[in-house]
Amino acid sequence: MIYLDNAATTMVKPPEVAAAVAEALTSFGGVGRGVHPASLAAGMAVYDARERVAELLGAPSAGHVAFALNVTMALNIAIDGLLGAGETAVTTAASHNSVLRPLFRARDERGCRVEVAGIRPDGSLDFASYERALEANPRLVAVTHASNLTGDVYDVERMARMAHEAGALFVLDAAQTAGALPVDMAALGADVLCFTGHKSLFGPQGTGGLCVADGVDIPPLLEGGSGTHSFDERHPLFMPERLEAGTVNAHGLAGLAAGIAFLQDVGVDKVHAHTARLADAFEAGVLEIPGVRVLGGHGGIDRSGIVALNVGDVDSAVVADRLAQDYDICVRAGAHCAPLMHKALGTDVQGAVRFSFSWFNTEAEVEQAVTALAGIAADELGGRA
Amino acid sequence: MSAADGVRREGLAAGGKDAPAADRAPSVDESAEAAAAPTGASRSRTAWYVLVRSHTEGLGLYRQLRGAGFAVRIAPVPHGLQACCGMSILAGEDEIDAVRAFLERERCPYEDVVRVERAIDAGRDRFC
Repeated sequence: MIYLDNAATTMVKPPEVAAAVAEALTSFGGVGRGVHPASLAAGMAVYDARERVAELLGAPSAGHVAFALNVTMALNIAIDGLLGAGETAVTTAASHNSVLRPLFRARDERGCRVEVAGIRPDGSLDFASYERALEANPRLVAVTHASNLTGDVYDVERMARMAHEAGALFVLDAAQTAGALPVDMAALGADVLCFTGHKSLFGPQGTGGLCVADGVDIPPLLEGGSGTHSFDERHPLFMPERLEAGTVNAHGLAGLAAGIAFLQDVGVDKVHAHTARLADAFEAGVLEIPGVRVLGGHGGIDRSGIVALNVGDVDSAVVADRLAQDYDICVRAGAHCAPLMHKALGTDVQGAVRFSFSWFNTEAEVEQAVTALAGIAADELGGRA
Repeated sequence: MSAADGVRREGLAAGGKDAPAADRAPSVDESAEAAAAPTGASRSRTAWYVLVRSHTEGLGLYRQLRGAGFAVRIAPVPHGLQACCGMSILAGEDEIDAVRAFLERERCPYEDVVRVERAIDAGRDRFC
């Protein structure tokens, strides 16, 4: 099998990740729920994960990192907590549904206003549209760092600066960039950075969270067990426990810490260079195939390891299914939970076929994927290309 | 014996919270002999609990202190002392002054430092 769906989740992980999870499953007590050795083993592993996340993503300290099940939950915590009833939020058409749906729910249920800055057909952000959206006096700007469809990395440092000048807090969805390229929330100006563990950080599914800058106070989405302050009627007020109700996924977070340790050993710069090289080689190869159209990828200031394309007018699902059935190549077709981005690119009916690369992919796999796509294009398009 | 017996609060640390209610105030240790160090100062039965606000801060503080070379360990807080966190950093009699100085110098987050006679052994640490 050739696995090229790393933007969905990385299937191939460093072996240390599975080893850490396996060890955790047979040795961890309740995390934060006791002070005996088994509990402390879990607590230390979770603390290690917090510390590594903070180091990797530029959070002020381990205490500024709260864990959640995934980036969607983290974004819900940030958006629901920071956007008050009747207030205005700004996002972009590149956003994933993990940003769009919480915002639209706030619009529908709490009278909030949502402004969406446009994306051009080449995948780039329309900064004039973004600037106009900021004139609506937003409380919150929530945007994606990189399109999960095209891989375009947006100039979020500039976007954060503009958001702050407009008086808004800046929430960054780093689902596609955390671990894929160097990310420093302080340098980027993010007030909140939401991440997932199971993509480029190489952690297990069910891990993710949010890094919160100093001075940003997010009320909890959930309240309940905290392991401490049991006689208080409400959930603790301090980070990170404030945003974590119930036992965190310590087993998974042990794996996340191992995944990040691997990244720190290799170097995110090196990982990014590798995936960029693979993406460039793949793009160059598929552009030689008659009928193939690459979507975006050069509209930002950088590119995560994603190449999205279509083959003529062939349904993206057909292409992906043939890649899987005939060539044992795993890619993602369809809408990618990015409806506005597809509309911006004109692919809301056809969808798109997304190839996404990781540290563990090789140039040989890229060549096989190009060859496979050429075969499918020839079959499906015949002389129509 | 109540949870607070054998415990002596040594005043508030800088940045610490208010003192506990009088009914939770510890009594003077009634068993001086139990405080005698059986195997040297670092194994003294008199120990000092550094109280913290949360598990996360406690784990961070523990790592910081261990990294600085202190033979501290993590221990449960006697329930009579504090009902909030449940975790504390346990330091030996021989190190507490240096630990206090470190906490102040490094501006470490903590709630209070409390002396306990006939404590659990501060020198034992199976975890590290």
